[in-house]
Amino acid sequence: MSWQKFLLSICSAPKYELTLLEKEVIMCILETKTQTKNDLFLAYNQLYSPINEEAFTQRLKNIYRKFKITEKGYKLPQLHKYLVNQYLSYQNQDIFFSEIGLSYIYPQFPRDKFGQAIDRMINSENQDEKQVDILQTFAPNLDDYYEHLIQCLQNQVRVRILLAWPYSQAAKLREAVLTKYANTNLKNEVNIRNAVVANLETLEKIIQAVDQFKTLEIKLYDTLPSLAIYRAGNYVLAAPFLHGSLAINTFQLELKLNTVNQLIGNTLQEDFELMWQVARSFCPNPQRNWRNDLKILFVD
Amino acid sequence: MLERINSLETNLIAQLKSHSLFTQIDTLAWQDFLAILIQRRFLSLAIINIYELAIDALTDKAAKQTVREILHEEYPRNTKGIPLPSHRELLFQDLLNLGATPKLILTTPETSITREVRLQSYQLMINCLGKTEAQIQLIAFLRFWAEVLVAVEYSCLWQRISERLASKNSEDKPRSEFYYFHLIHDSRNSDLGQENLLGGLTHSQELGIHLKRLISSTEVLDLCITVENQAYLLKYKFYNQFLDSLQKVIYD
Repeated sequence: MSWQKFLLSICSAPKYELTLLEKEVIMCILETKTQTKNDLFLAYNQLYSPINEEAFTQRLKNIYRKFKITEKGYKLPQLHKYLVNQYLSYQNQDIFFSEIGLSYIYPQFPRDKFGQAIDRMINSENQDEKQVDILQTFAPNLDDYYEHLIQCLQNQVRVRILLAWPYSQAAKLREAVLTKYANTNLKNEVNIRNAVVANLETLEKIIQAVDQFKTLEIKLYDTLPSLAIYRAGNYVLAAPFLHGSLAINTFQLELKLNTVNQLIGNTLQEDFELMWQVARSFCPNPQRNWRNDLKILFVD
Repeated sequence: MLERINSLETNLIAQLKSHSLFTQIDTLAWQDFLAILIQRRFLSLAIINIYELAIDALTDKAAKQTVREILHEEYPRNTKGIPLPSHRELLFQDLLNLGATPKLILTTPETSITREVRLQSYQLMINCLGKTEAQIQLIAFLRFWAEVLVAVEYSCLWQRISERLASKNSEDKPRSEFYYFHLIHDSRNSDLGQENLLGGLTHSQELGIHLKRLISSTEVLDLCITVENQAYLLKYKFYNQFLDSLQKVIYD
């Protein structure tokens, strides 16, 4: 939002209760960029309506009162500073909510929303969007997307699944953190090794169910990511790995990629790509005894 | 303090690798080589008893849990609880793929030396019981006899096994499901105390972490060194029994 639009907006804000003539004074500040009362008085007389100095001073005092400009010293620079600060603050909020791509925050993983995003992506004309990425320690909700993932593979959508290598020290640490700090029934239920293997068994079934799975890539990592990421095209859900709580049970940032400001989108994508590079490929091929391969994946 | 045991292990591994049987393994007739693997299978089958004894005897909870997990890996299940082929079965399958018949594997008797080595290995563990440092001696024996040296043995035997089995998927040869994976996931991989946070831990390293934690004095260290030396001698004795096969090659 431009400075001019912002001033028009703030002048119309009900909480300040500015009169039409007082709004004219504010807009005159914008136009003249002056910081002294005398210059502003002269400019106002030229650009707006004639007014005597005493009446103009009174009008300014009313504006100061309404904007709560009460500090000692020259009030006009204080008013100017106040308006600039309000503008900067407004600008930051503006960037945060729209330009950066943050569209919503859910209290927990929105199961249907992600399914709908996959459907939209499959039906999209835009080939660049045909991609699904999942980064998780283990994905407790992977079975929810069994049919979606099959459809993705049948429609040549690139699917990348990045999970923890269940024998890693990092996976053990995550399990210890989850169980130690959980305040729910999670305490005795988390077994990351079994959970990742269960995900791989689901992926094994998906591989069995499709004619070809060339667009499915699975990799495992031995590090500690800080966010879980679910991406379908330009739609992303990201959630932190908190102590004692599964990522799907904490707040979810709903993000759009390819927005004007790429601060969050780029950072998340770069982190995913870095992990993708250092992770090791793994395929739970139904024709193989893949549990043996799994055990030695990172043992060099 | 760990330097002494690390140095000992490196030396013992080098000595086992330089056993005449391994240095001349490529000269063995295939049937003689299979005979070694079939005898070696008796020690593999005995590992379960060795591990079960350790579980019953260990009181250190963390070490007991690690030993339990390693033992349970011998009998894998999927996450629905359905049993998958055990490591015993995979060993049998590898032997079949190497050309042994079921009859040969199942009816070849255990030699007197193999039996001695098997029983003396078990007895060595029994001898540790009741002693002040029994816990650490059991872990030291288990790690060195059942993991570190096993990986060394399989890496030496792999020179011949790989003639007929592949380490990865191959169109030419069946994949080894037992020997190759054990030589990788049992291997020593690092000195005691040098286990890496990233990457994976082998069985030797998992047990090594407990060993490092429990070695509290040079006296305890000496006990571990004694146990590892004994474990090494048992393995050496086992392979000595096949030296005649080499002689046969020379005389032929």
